[in-house]
Amino acid sequence: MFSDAYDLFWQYEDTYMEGLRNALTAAAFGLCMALVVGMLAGVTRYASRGSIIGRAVAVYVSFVRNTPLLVQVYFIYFGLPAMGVTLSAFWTGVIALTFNSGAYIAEMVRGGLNAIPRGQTEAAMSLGLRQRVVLWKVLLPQAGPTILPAVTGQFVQLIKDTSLLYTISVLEITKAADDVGNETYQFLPAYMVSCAIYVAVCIVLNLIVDLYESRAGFSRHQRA
Amino acid sequence: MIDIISVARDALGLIITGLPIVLMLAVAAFFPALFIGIVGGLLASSRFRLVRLLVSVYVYVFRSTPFLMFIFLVYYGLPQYDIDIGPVTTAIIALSLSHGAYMTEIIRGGLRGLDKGQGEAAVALGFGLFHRLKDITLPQALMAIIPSLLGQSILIIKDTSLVSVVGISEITRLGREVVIRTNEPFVVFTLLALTYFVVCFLLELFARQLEGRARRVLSGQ
Amino acid sequence: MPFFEARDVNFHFGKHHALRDISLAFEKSDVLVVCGPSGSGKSTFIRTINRLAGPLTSGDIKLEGKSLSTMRSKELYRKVGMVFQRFNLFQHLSVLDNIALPQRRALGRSRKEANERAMALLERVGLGEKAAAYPVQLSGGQQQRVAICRALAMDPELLLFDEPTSALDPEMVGEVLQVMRELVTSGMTMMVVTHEMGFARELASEVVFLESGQLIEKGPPAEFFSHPKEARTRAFLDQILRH
Repeated sequence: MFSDAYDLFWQYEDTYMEGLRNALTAAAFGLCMALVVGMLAGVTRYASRGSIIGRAVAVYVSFVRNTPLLVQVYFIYFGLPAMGVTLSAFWTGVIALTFNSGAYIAEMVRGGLNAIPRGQTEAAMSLGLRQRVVLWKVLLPQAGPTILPAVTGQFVQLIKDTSLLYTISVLEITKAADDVGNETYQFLPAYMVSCAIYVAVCIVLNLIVDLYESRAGFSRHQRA
Repeated sequence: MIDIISVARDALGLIITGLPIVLMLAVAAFFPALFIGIVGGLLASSRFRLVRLLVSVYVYVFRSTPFLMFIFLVYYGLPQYDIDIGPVTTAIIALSLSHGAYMTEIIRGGLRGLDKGQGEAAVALGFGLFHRLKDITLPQALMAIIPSLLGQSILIIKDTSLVSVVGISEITRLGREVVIRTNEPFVVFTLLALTYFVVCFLLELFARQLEGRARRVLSGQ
Repeated sequence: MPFFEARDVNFHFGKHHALRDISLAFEKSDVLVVCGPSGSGKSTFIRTINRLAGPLTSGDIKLEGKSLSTMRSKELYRKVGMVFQRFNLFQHLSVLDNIALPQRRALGRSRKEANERAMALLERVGLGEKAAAYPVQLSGGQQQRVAICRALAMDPELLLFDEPTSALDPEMVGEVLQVMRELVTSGMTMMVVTHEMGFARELASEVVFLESGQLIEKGPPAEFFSHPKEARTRAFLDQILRH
């Protein structure tokens, strides 16, 4: 069985590699855009807690967290054309991933900011710094070490989420396995290959993150 | 306008048909997953390195691979070895195994966070291993992790949407069919999303309530 | 044959030689107080008695002639009870259940009998009305008194105390010492690790001083406190009595 999988991989290397490429690209774009969305949303929620926009962000986050990603994907995939916007399946998928991950990252940012002791804000304000400066120059940099691990976790989640793009016919890793399976009728080995690819990607990601964290000196002691 | 109302009525009708299936799948998968989690969480603190390693591998593999891929693996892979089970059984097995890994992590964390002193007192009072686990360790661990367990059940409910790919007519698949038929994505998917939202949100509120209660009982630590 | 005897006890924590050649003995109804600076091994010693710390490297501990290292767990934990520094009450159980459940599980008593004994003990220490409360609702002193009841409910022959008052606020130390005082008068055999020298002076039958895992000096309180023989003992007493 394992040798079947091994042979299958080399036979259909191109298919799998294309799937991997698409998945990684989608995840990378999704993460970058989600970071932007998430930081803006998270900071807004933290800074304007009671206001309308703060509550709107809360609703956005709650919606994303309490509905399945598949429904969100379908919503965007069927909804955009209905609004007259035509995008390729790939980019539709990226937008859905951004929409989804943005909410989770917003929560991580908010959590990281909340974890900073009030004294920091008080000191900064008493020095006469304006709120925007306080947020971006004092609070967020300190929240960084807390937020970063969570964000890398979200990147791993994103890679897993790319599998849903299967349902809108994007050739990512799961669809690659499905195609190979359909061609050779060796489904189990085909999916085992995709399983191995996902695990390998995660291992590599974890290694990179560990390396980065140890180099950048993100130790527990650096907080406050 | 009337079109939209009739579409909405269609969609609601299908949601009412499909929602029990969603809940049934979620409940049917929750308990096996919890059982796997308890066993896995306990084994994760075993004295034997091999056992701990096996548990870690199980958890790592399921945390690194998407559920969609796994359900395909089970659904298409098993028949190759002449194991023929229907989509529903496939779904429940896939959900249980996949979420069992997350439950293992939750319970492992819960056990690790326990006050060692209580275990020592239990030993000093002559509790045997079985009773120590049953009366002292597990009740406290479970109380501490109830919010996480409920959070996991929300994830199970969301993952039921994915079992639609193996042909089970739960609400996401039904909703998608209605949209393709009527071309009213916003109405249908909004209703669909709202359904999930209500169910999950209620669970979230329930979890927060329980968390408050558990914290008050355990705050002596 | 002494009631309790420790002979040439050695114990290692990994590479650290925590207990060195400790030998002591005492009789029934005696109260042995163990004192010493932090890291002296006094807590470790008391925990090797009921096997919470781990097996001895060498030496033996005997209770009524029977070796504790080979005794069956069931017998050991019935005969030897322990009161912990941090009380270790079961947070998820009521005060009454804390005292009753161990009786049912380890001694096989019926629920009725266990509850009756639990109530009787609670009344004795003045906490009868707290039976239905949960540990988190009690003060530290109250929790420790409940912990003592819990250990007593097992009818132990030897009761070990691991710094029972060290985690308490000063105003609650007295109520716990009072309970311990009554135990002494009632004839319970006790080994107490503590810094409370007043208690030692008043109630101990013998005081033992440990430092760096070694038994430096032992003797009846009168001698120990007024005429300590070793220089290290004197230094320790000076330090601790100054407070």
